Amino acid sequence: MTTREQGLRRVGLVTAALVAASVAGAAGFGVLARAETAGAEPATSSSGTASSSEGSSSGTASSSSSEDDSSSSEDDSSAPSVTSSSGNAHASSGGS
Amino acid sequence: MATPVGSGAYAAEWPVWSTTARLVVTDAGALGEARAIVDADLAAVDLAASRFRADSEVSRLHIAGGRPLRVSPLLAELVEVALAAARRTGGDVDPTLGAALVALGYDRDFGQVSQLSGADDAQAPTGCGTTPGPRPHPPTAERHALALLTDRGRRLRVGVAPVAPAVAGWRRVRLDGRTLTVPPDVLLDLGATAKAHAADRCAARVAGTLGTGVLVSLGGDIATAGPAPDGGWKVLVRDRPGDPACTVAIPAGAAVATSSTASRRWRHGGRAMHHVLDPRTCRPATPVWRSATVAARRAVAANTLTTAALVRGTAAVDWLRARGLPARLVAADGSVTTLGGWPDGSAGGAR
Repeated sequence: MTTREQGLRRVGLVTAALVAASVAGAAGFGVLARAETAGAEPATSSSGTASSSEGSSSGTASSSSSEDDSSSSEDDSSAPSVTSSSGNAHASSGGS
Repeated sequence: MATPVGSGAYAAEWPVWSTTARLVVTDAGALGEARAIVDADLAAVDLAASRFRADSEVSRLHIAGGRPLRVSPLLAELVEVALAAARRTGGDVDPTLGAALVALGYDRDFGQVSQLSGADDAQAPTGCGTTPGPRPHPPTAERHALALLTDRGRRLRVGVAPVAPAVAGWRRVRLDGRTLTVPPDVLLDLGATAKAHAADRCAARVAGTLGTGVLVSLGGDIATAGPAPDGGWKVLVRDRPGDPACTVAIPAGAAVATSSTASRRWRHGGRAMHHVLDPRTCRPATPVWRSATVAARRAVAANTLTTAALVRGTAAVDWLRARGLPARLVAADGSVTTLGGWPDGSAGGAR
């Protein structure tokens, strides 16, 4: 027959074993995760000058604007004023 | 010879890259030197980036078979601009569609493509390329590049429309300073951005060197620099004869570009083709729009958006609106949509 103290010791051992297992598992997962990340690095860097935040949705039919890099640091983003005009044009803009 | 254009502007026009170059300056005396500057810069861009010349750097890259090459500062600049355009558009403007264009028959200067294939584009300029006249075979470098593609069992074969790769080509191009690595199954085609960027470069160089106001138009990709004539630079926006037209004025330093699914057309395998490919299908983009026009501070920025708009189809309206730049879309049925402050009902006109 199991005494109360024996029961508590067993519970303690089981708890300690579970804690140790979970710690080991977490550590192992972390190692694996790091290894996975390291393994992915060359593929990420092989995208050339593409920013690391870009996904690889290419090849799909969608044109997700979430990939767009709209953070132009140049003055491209400032809109020039375009006004209606008439008379002879200096140049024409057609399909190219 | 300087041709007066309106008040205080003088123009010269000549064929280049199967299209028309137009140079307008505000100082008539500067036109000759300005032309020399533009000619020199366009020649340098052609030598760096033409996929139709065996001696271009791009052709040598293809022969390198994926090995890193140290390239000229100019080609590095052009590739950097092209990759930036790809990033800005989520890959809609992809500089690695050269093989797809070759597979669809656009394997030589467009003037020769239209001559040999019976182009749909009756307005396409002809005989303006680096080698006038019909050319029965691609140049040596191109044949070499295509042989590399086929011999290595890659996804591409001559005359067969390629399948879009799992990872877009532009993501696999690596540029570290001046060291450029292009995967062996990728042929660069920088045409979408190089022409517009060349217009920006030329305008900046002419204004910087000669101090004149200048407009440089390369096939409708228009860049300006220096002071503008009174009332601004007037630009007729019209893709093809009979299309809806308008004349607008842009201020000094502004740029305009138009891309089209109706121009630069040819036939291949019994089908009508145009030169704006959807990178996701490696086929001509569905012609929801006949043309797209955008005004920006640089021609390459404008051209990037117009090309992407044609690829995006109906989604282009919201996408362009979010960019906030003046834009004009002409639908397949001829209806016009204006965005971002582009004037409604701008006057028609002629140059």
